[in-house]
Amino acid sequence: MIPFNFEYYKPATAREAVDLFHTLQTRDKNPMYYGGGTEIISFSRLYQLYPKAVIDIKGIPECNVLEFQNDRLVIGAAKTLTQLQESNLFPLLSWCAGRVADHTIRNKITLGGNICSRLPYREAVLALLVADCEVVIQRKGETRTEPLESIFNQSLHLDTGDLLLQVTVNKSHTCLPFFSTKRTANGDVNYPQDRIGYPVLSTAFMKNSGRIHAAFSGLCPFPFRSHELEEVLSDQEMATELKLAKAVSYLPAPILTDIDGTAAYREFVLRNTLARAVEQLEGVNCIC
Amino acid sequence: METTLAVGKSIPKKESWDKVTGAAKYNTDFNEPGLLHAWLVTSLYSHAIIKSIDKTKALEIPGVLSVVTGDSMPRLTGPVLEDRPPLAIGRVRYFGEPIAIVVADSLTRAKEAAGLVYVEYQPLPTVNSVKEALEEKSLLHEQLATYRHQKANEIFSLPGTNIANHIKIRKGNMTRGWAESEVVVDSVVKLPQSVHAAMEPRNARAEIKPDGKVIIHTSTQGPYDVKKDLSYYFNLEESKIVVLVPLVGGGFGGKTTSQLEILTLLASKAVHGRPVKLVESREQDFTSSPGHLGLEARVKLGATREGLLKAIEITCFVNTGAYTDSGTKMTRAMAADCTGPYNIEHVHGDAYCVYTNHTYVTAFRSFGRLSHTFAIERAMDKLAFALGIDPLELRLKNAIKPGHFTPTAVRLNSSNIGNLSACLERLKKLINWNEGIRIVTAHNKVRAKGISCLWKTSSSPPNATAGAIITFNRDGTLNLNVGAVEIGMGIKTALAQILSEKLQMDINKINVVMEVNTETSPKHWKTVASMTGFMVGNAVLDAAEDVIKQLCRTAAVVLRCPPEVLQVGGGRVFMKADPDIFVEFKNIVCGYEYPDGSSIGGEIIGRGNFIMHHLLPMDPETGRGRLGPAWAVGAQAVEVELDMLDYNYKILKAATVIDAGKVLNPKNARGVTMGGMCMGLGYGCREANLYDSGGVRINPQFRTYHLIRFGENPEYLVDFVETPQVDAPYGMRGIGEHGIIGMPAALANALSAAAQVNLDFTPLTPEAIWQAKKEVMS
Repeated sequence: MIPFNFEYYKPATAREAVDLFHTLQTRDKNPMYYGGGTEIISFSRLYQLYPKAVIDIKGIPECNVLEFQNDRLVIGAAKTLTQLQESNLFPLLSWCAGRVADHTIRNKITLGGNICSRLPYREAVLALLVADCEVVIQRKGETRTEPLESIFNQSLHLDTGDLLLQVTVNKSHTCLPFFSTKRTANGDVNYPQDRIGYPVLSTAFMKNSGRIHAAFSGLCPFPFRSHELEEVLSDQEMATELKLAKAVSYLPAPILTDIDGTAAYREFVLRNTLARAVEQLEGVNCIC
Repeated sequence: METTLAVGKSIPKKESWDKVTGAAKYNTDFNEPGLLHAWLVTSLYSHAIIKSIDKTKALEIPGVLSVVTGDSMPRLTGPVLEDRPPLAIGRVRYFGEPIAIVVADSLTRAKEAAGLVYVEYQPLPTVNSVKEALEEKSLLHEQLATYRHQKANEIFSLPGTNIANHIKIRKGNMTRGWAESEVVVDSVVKLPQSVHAAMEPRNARAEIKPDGKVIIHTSTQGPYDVKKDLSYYFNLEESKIVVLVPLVGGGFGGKTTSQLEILTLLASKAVHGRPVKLVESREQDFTSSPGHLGLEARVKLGATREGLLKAIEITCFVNTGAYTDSGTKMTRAMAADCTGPYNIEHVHGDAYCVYTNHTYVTAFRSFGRLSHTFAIERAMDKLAFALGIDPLELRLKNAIKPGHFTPTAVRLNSSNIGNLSACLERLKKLINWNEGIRIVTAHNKVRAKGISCLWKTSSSPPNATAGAIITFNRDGTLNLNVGAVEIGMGIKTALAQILSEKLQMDINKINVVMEVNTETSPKHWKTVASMTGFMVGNAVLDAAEDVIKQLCRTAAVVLRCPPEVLQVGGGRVFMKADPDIFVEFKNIVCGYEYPDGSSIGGEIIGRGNFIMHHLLPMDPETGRGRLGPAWAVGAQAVEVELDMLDYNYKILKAATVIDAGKVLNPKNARGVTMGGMCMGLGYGCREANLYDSGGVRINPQFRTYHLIRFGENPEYLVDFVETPQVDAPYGMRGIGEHGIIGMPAALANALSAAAQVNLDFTPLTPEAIWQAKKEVMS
């Protein structure tokens, strides 16, 4: 139960939502956009969040798109992880999103919510990062499209009140060969999901024109894609052992130690996973 | 004993339809006009002096009626050793300890106000482990010597230390035992505290009527203990207290002790007796209410070269947390069964109950045997390895049997011990033991098996009782009223089966009163220790005899014959010699009416009771005594597949064979055993209460505390051996807890065999196996 009162709004357009946000902001309502609500509810009940107003984005048409439009897959921010999985328009995204939380919760969690989560894992982001996707942002008075990587650095950098409307992916990238793993403290999570938990290491690898793209979650306190690391992995000449040693030196932050695993163990899992990824993606081509 | 009608049949639980349709009501489902809501203010420190509590801001919230603090009840409580203030007084000893109760007209306001009660703490050094407790880094209870208890033969505390109880077992002659031992292994194990995680969090509501009558609605396994405790703590006559318990949503021992009942009564007193409801959040259930003990144990085990056990020295340190509750009793229970189900002549056992600044503990499914068995069974596997004997053969060779003596010197017979060897033989086939303990399969994978034996008796007081009342309806159907709580295990149905069998009548004609009301249901000690079927079952049989006697007395008049020639069955009383001469229940249970209207007989009311017999407290110096009426023994196995590259593993199979005496309800017995096995595997592979260096719980919710999920379960193989316990209903043995006992040990034995490294701890995560491997290799 949430032990405080808050205002609830459900605007019908993206513009209206953003304008409302700014109005509420000036009235000190500490507004938050509301997608599936899993974090707002579970954190608010423990006073870890304290919004005085929430703006439900599920009524905004752009946020509810899930289809190919011309040469791009367009995914609205309010689509649930279950919907992404069931449509399976982008298999790697199904894998990454489909191992978050459990099925009941994924019926609520939205793609936008997962990208903007306060938790450090945000595993759906991994598929989006390696697929070079773009994001559509509603700002005050304008809609802008930008590459995800240009504004995703540890987290999605939006100005106050900006609303993530959609994610779009080049159609040809949705069917590139991929390899994706998730390890929790209790062991591997396969796909379809057979185990639940936060990642010790969650990965997404994609092979595009001979080059391996790689993104990681659970390793550092944020999900990331590393181009330096990709360079090493994609090097045809380098021996695997050397690749692994080099790759580990290209991490953007020290490896995490928490209740799910120590840094030393995470590094052990990372090395094993990288070796498997290189082996799996060797010589494979587009799955379309 | 041949049974035909109901015993031995998989009769669905009587409450199932209500449960599967969602119509079943649990304690928190009930509301009433004028009900007030309470919320706890709990400690943010594991050990600190409370310098001040400022309620001002909280009381300013509209709708807040009271903020109750420790000064409202300046006395200590506890089921054995009275060491715990229901609300902290001047000092907190664990993170989550209740400090104040906010009472308001809505839950929202109570919760909001609880955040505005300001507590000023002065931190004290934290005792964060058994080791730190024994080093006396800090003393938790300086006044230990002055604490009251009513069980002089159970409590041997060591004032001036953190040891609340010390139980000794001395049997045989250790010098001789070690002299006869040609091979000796030494084994140390460490197991963490965990939580019960019942689906229904703990909750209660209390009300004081204008005439002073106290009404408690609670989710408990021990309604009569709640009544007794409140009477004692609040100085009330027991006739002034009514405890009502509907269906309980799981307990696993966590609902055996009085805690929230005391707090809600305090809260109700503060608001002039108005009804107050207190429901713990999951976080509070995990941190403020008692959990499952931790254990550190050392086992030294000696045997001849042929593998005959000769001597054991075992030392157990129970982490009881900040207060003892059932900790002292579980320490004693562990000591009493300390050899495991093996015949060992020379035994030297010490069990200590140790205070730490962790959440305090209470009964947990198996009452300590789960942890203690891990210590014994790891040592058995190490001994088997040292001797080069098959682990299952070693256990068979030493399996306890009729004629042997237990660590507390109870002489065993077939009725009180059953047949462990038969369980092992059956298990051997079930798990296909002969194919080999460790088999290398493809891709760096190995498949391995591990086993564990188990035994458990109860630790009930020597005067524990149970009662049963049978009343009739006009149509000849009947009502069974007992004090056993239905907590999911199907006890009410099992009791109906016993009655149905005894009266030889259709079980559908027996209505069982689902709720327990201490005002009208006959007393039962409490629904714990796998003893309910045995105790209440015997009371039901006694009540059935009483009913039969009364039925035959009235029928004898009607049928014009002596009662001795009559028999009861099929809802009739009939002549043994000629069943066509009969009278139906419906014509005699409320008196028999002659055609002219004159009547005889009167309403038939059956009463039955049972009291434990020949139980004896343990001798303080040697441990000699008898804690329970009989043991149930069993053998378990786990099969795993381990990836030798990354130590990820799968539990493929889990098997259990228990000597159930007589299986009352096969599907239910299988279900309750599988449930226990699942719980044991969860504890073995992942569950643990985690604390930071300051003793603050860092995984107090399901987000971070993981149980085994549905899809992770292995294939369960469950079977039973039937060696009757002659003084139990139809020969049955209590097996409700037993499925859990050997699972962590069997898992550790399987993984140790697979990884070829000694794994002497839980939780057995892939990282922990990797770590153990790394340490051995470096």
